[in-house]
Amino acid sequence: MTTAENDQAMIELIRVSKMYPPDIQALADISLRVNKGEICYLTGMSGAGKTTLLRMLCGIDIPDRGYIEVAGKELNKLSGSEMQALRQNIGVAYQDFKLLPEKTVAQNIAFSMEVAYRSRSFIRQQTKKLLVQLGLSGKESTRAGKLSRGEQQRVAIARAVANDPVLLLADEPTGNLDTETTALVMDLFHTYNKQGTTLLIATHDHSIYSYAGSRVVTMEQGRLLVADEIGTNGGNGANEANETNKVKAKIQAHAASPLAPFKSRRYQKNKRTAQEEKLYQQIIIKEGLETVMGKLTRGVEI
Amino acid sequence: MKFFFAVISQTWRNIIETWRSQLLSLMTITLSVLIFAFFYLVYMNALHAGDLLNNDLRLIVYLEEQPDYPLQEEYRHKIEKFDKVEKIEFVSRLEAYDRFKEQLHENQDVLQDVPHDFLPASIEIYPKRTLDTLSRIKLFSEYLQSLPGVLKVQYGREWVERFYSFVQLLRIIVFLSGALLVLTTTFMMGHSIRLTMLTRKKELELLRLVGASDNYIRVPFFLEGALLGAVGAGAGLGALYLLFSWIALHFSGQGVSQMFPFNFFSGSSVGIIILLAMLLCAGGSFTSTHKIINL
Ligand SMILES: Nc1ncnc2c1ncn2[C@@H]1O[C@H](COP(=O)(O)OP(=O)(O)OP(=O)(O)O)[C@@H](O)[C@H]1O
Ligand SMILES: [Mg+2]
Repeated sequence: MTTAENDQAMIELIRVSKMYPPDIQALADISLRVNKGEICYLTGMSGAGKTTLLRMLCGIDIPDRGYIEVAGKELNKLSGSEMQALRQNIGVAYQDFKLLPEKTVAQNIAFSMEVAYRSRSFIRQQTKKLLVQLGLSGKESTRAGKLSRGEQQRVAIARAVANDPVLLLADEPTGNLDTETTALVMDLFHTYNKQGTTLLIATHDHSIYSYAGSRVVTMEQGRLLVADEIGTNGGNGANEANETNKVKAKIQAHAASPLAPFKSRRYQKNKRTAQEEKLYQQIIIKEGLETVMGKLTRGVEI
Repeated sequence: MKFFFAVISQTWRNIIETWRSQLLSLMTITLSVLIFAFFYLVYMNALHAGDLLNNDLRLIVYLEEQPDYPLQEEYRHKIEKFDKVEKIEFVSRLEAYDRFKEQLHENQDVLQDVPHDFLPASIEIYPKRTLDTLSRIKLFSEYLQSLPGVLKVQYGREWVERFYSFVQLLRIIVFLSGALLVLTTTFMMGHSIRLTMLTRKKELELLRLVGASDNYIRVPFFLEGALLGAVGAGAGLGALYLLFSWIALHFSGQGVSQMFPFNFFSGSSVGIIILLAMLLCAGGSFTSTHKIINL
C-alpha cells in the first residue's frame, strides 16, 4: 500500500509486537520509520530484540500485532509471489551468516543474484568486485565452511548487497571483524547508501555508529528506548509527525485486530506452524465469543 | 527465457552434485521399464502373429443355395450388422470346385466324374483382427449359424480360442507390469527427491530467504525427475533391445522364428514409452516437492 503520506518511508513499523513462548516479549509496541536513503543503526543489549525486528522486516517471522510496511508494501497483505519479489530487493546479512558451507564463496554470493535471474557475466563481475572491496580476493573457489568467521561474515555481507538491494538489513555485520576490515565493510555500506540503498544495521559496535550524523535507535527488552520515533529526527519533524499520525489512525483499526497477521495469504490454513495454529484457534474462539457477547448485549446486527 | 536458463543450469548443478544418490532410483526405473517393455513387446508380437495367421481366422459359412446378387447384399448387410469386418468374399459353387481342383494338383483326375457344382457355395468372412473381435468370434459364429440358409459355419476354433486366452493372459501381465512401473517410478522418484530435498534443506530455506520463486525452486526437481525417467527408460529399452538382438541372433533361421517373425518396437513406441516414464518420474518428483515446498 503506497500512500502519499509515506512514500518517503522505506520502513514503517507501527505498534509492532511479538511474543515468543512461553512469555518472552521480543518486541513490544515498536513504532519506527526509516526513510529512503537513510542509514539507521539499531543498538541494544543482547536479547533486546534487534534480530527479531529484522526478521519481521523480511517476512521470516510475523508479528502478533502491528503494521509493517517495507518499500511501500504492507507485509501481511503480500501474496507469496509478491513477498518473493520483495525479498529479492532486500539484502539481508544474517547474524548467523546462513552460508552454505559446502558451496564455494562465489556460489554463495551468486545465490541472491541467481534467483533474480541476473546474467552470468553480471554475477561474475559483481562477485569479483565485491570480493576485492571486502578484501577477499582469491577466495572465490574456497568452500565457505573453510573460511574464518570474519571471512564468512564478509561473504554474508557480499551476498546481501550483491543484487543491488533497495534495502539492506545487516545484523551485527562487524561482529567478527578487526578495525581495518570493519572500515572496508563500512565503506562498502556507504557506497551502497550513496547509490540509494537504505540501510538498517543492528550492532553493538560503537565505533561504527559514532560517525557524525548517523541515526541511532536503541532497543531494550523489546522496546525502543531512545524516543527516536518517526518525526523526532530529521528536518521537517512536525510535518512528518503529523503525517505519521494520519497513517497511524488509518491503520489502527486494522492493526488492533489480533487476527491481522493471519489475514495474510501466506499464513492461511495449512501453511501455519502448529504453534501459530494454536494461537490462531485461541484468537478465533476469543474473538468469536467477544463478537457474540457484543451482539447479545447490544442487540445489533451488522 | 532467463528463467529457463537459470532453471536448467540449476538442474545441471543438482545432477552433478547428487547423481550418485540417484543411481538406485535410476536402476529401479530401468528395471521396471525393462519388465514392462518386455511383456509389452511379447504382447505386441503376439497380436502381430495373430495378423499373420489370418487365414485361420477366417470364418467360412457354407450355404444351402448359391445366393444371387440381392441375396448376397442381404447377407453382407446382416453380417455387418453384427460386427465390422475386414472383408467378405462370396465363393460360388464353381469357384469352390476350381479351388479344390487346384489343391489336388496331379490328382485332379479324381474329379472327372463329379458334377462341377458338388461343393456348396460359401461366404468367407475375414473378421477385423482386434482382440475384441477375437473374443467375440464364438458369438459371431453362432450368429452366422442362425442366419437363414446357412448349412454350417467353420473356423479354426481351437486355435483361435487358445490364442485368444494366451493374448488375454499377456494382456493382464502387461497391465500388471505397467501398474508396477507406475508405482515404482512415482514412488522411487518421490522418495529420492524427498531425500535430496531433505539433505539440501538449508539451501532450499536460503533460496526462500533470498526470494526465489516457487517455480525456481521446484522446476529443477521436476526436470531432474524427467531426465531420470528418460535415462532410466532409455536404459531399460536398450537392455531389452540387447536381449532381443541376442535372441534373434541365436534363433534366426529356425522354424519358430520364421513362423512368428518377432519385431522390436517401432520408433514411435519407443518414444511413447520414454515419454511416459519421463512424465511419471516428473510427476512423482513434482508431488513430493509440492509437499515440501510449503515449509
Ligand atoms: N524463535 C524464538 N523462540 C523463542 N524465543 C526467541 C526466539 N527468537 C528470539 N527469541 C527471544 O527473543 C528475544 C530477542 O531476541 P533477539 O535475537 O531479537 O535479540 P538480539 O537483540 O538480536 O540479541 P543479540 O544482540 O544477542 O543478537 C531474546 O530473549 C530471545 O531469546
Ligand atoms: Mg541478534
